[in-house]
Amino acid sequence: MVRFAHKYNMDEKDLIKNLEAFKEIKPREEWKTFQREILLKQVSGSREGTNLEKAPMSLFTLLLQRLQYLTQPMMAVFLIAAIILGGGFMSVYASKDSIPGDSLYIAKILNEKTQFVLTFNEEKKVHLGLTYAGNRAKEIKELMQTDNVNKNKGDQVEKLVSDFKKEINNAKNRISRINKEKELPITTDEKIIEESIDTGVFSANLKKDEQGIEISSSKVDLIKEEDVEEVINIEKTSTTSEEVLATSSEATLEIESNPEQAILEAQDLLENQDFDGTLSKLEEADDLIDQVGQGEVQGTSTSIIIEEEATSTGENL
Amino acid sequence: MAKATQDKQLYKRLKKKDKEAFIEAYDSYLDDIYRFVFFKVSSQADAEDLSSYIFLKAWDYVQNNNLKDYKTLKALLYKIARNAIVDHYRKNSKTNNQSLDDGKIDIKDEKQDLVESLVNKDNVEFLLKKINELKDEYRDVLILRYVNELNVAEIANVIGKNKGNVRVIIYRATKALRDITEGNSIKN
Repeated sequence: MVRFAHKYNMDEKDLIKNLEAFKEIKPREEWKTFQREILLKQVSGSREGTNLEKAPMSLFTLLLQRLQYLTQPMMAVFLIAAIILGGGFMSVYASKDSIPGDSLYIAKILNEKTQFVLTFNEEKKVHLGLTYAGNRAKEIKELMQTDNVNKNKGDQVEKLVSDFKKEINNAKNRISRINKEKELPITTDEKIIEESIDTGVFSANLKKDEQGIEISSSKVDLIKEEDVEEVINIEKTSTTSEEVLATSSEATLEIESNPEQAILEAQDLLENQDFDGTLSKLEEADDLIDQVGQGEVQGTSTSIIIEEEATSTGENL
Repeated sequence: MAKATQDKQLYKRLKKKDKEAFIEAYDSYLDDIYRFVFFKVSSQADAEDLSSYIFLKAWDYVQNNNLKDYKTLKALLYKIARNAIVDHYRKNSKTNNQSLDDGKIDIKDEKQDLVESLVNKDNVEFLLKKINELKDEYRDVLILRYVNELNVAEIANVIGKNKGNVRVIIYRATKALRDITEGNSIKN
């Protein structure tokens, strides 16, 4: 029998002797027997299962296995592609509203550059350029509105303004190139207009209202000199000339509202920190780009009609 | 030496899916494994369930793996037992605040009955409470060394340390248990 030196104060030998007493702890015999049977059944079951695994393979099973080897790499490639593409779209979407300093801003710029490089149509490139210029304007606005203390804020805004100007200039140059490419029909029309200016009849119609006033005064002189019937004719003619003046004025405005002009205005607005105005002007320029070729031809044809009417009116005078 | 050879033979037969070998292993090691588990769980039922699971797990392991990592079947069984106990506490930790490390396991009535049936039950009961206050590693080495009579090399195999470390741990664990039983505080 193990004894304690002082109640439960034992030395090492006593301690070990007491620990050895734990050897008497054993599982219940009935449980042990019962569990042996259960485990034996479970082990036997698993062995049968293993035998099944070793059964000779049928041709169909073999074919399925070979197909698995083939489909697995394909599935892997498909999944990787899906993840890359999906991830790309997600990051582009997530970076949409980022500003300089954001972790996703670089993704936004890269996406813009990639998109631009992959665009081959010049008109579409102008559209893209204006969109990017708009993005820069939005970023400047957002950056200036942020309250956080950003030491680089000034530099970032300066860089964005510089990028905005680059985009704008590139867009302008591109528009000029597109115009040059379509120069032939435009030049012919312009010549017609120039010829009409040379005739000195109603060349003023394509200019400012002041010149229109001059024409009206000449009409007044004519009324003084001619008889009543002629006055009536002149009044009729004068009415026609006024109509022509109005029409020509509209045409002049239409010609002036070209994308290049809108872009220049957008640049002015940005310098005045009118970001909303800049964006709406860029949108206007964007709409007008489609008319760079087609629109100008229409505008010129209107000029031809004006010129023709003006000439006829001039002859009447 | 004879035990080691017997262990090796059992392993080879188990590898060949010999169910008789499984039964032999069960009969040879069940008491030790059950005892080892018994000290670490809160009830006799848990000790029984875990013991059954450990033998089944060992069967599966031997079929699908190489025994190189554990060297002997006995070491493998203890290793599986230790992992099974950790899993058991992990699963129960959500419903029961008791953890493996707090060292204070409530002894339920059924377990108490078993202790009371032992000779010299006062000493055993006292020591059982005290041994549960030790940290896991100390408790493990004491049970393995003095209750289940594993040698230092076998313990080293089970707990994954070298023999020198095991000797040091056994010394410290014994000292810690002595300190507790004398009423001194221990530093785990």
